[in-house]
Amino acid sequence: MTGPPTPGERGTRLDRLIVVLAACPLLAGTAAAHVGALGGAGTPQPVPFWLVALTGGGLVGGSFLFTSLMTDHETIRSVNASRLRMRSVAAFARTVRRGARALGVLGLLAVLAVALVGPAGSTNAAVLVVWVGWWAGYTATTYLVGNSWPALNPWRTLTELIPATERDLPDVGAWPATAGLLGLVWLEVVSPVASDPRFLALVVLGYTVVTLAGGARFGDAWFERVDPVARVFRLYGWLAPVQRTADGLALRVPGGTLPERELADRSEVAFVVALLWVTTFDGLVSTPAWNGLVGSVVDLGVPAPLVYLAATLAGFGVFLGGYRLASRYARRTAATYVSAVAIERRFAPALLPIAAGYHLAHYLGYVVGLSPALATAVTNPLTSPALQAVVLPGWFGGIALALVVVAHLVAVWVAHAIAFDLFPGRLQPIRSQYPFVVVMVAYTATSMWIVSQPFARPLAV
Amino acid sequence: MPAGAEADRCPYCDHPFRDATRLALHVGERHGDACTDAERTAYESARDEEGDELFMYHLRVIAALGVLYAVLVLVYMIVLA
Repeated sequence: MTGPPTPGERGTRLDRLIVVLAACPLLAGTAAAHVGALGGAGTPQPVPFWLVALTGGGLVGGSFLFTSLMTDHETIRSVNASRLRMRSVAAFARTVRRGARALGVLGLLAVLAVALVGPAGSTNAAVLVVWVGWWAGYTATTYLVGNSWPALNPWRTLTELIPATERDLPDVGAWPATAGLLGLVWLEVVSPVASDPRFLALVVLGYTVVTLAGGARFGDAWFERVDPVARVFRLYGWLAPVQRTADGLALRVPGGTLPERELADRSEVAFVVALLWVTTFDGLVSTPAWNGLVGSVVDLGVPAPLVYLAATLAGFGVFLGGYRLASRYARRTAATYVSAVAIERRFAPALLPIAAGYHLAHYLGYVVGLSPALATAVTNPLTSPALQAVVLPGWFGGIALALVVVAHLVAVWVAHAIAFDLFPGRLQPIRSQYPFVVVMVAYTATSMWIVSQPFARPLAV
Repeated sequence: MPAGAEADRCPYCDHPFRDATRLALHVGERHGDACTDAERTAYESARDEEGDELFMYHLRVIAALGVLYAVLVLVYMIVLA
């Protein structure tokens, strides 16, 4: 198409402008307010009304004189034709995704840099960003808003820069991911990764090496099947209101997509149960009763990390065994020929609201309490500010209890919907739920007990 | 499915069921537009029968809810007194 550019082709790309403007606050420094010695400068001077009217008239007459100076046709047209243009929503989405990928990689590099050269101690910006900002706060957005991790994942972006081989993954299901999740949580509990920035840097570097190697060798399948972090966010994303569809985004009832989700095999069920267990375990290890128990075992001479490892694995075994047992009984109460394994697979997505509700109950106070510390640390990454925490009101604990209950309510509803999808009739689905309800009631009571316990620092390991 | 057990199988999707009522309900719900008239009649009568059972079940559910409520109120009254 030759010829001069039409007014439609000129103009700025709106999508790029929005992303740049949105990024500006990240680059802004803090402003220092300053009160000048200009007392009395604000008192208005009275102006007689005839002078006001004369000024207005003069301005309008003057504007006519000014516009008569602009006589070039081209210039007149171009003033009216200037526009901001957004080519399409898809182009906007692409720009946002590119921005998210850049943000993810920059975030990773910043965390590594600050963890390595920033101040030692647990108020280091990297420590707060990773544990308060990312693991607590960002995870909450994946189930409260939507899963943005595939775009934000810095390791996925970095993998694309490495020449990849794209081999086929061996058929190990979700067991490596489950082992990875249990391992990461055990590490978080027994090591100073959540308080010592240098150790955090070491762990992040190690994780980066493993993930980049896996991603380079197996491609996207690594992030879809093996990487525990990506799988956690994907599962939490199933709960969220904002869902990706084939042609864009949709706003759903939170948890509404769960009855449609299929888990491929028993290993994926195991991962969901592991996710549930680790959120409970995280709360359990900071109760005084647990510390007493661990203390007595450690006094017998067993090293503490080993005790925690045994507890992680044993607890996971109890949860998985309990879930499998409930599925077997459900087969009996529903009087169905659907196999217990199929029941396990169909009902496992109903466990996800419980994990999410528990995560929020556990971390909401944590994020709110430490948000000023996070803000201070991020704006002053290389100095060592004193730890400021928001003191939470007494009724905040009630919110955590309510969240645990609400999470279980959502789970009961989702399980009800799944049962009605799986079994014919109206009574059989209801009867299939009896064993699960028994387990849910016990689990709710236990979770509420854990959440209401005073915080006890886990034993120094 | 346990080996050696006789089961009613769905003629459309070959899924086994423990008794004929369940099968009739399944055929009506899942294969409603493909089923024969006889199957549809069986479905409707199974559904009616189940409806009666469901009504009695719901009465028991409401009674259970009432008992649960009463117990909770009483326990709170005793504890907070």
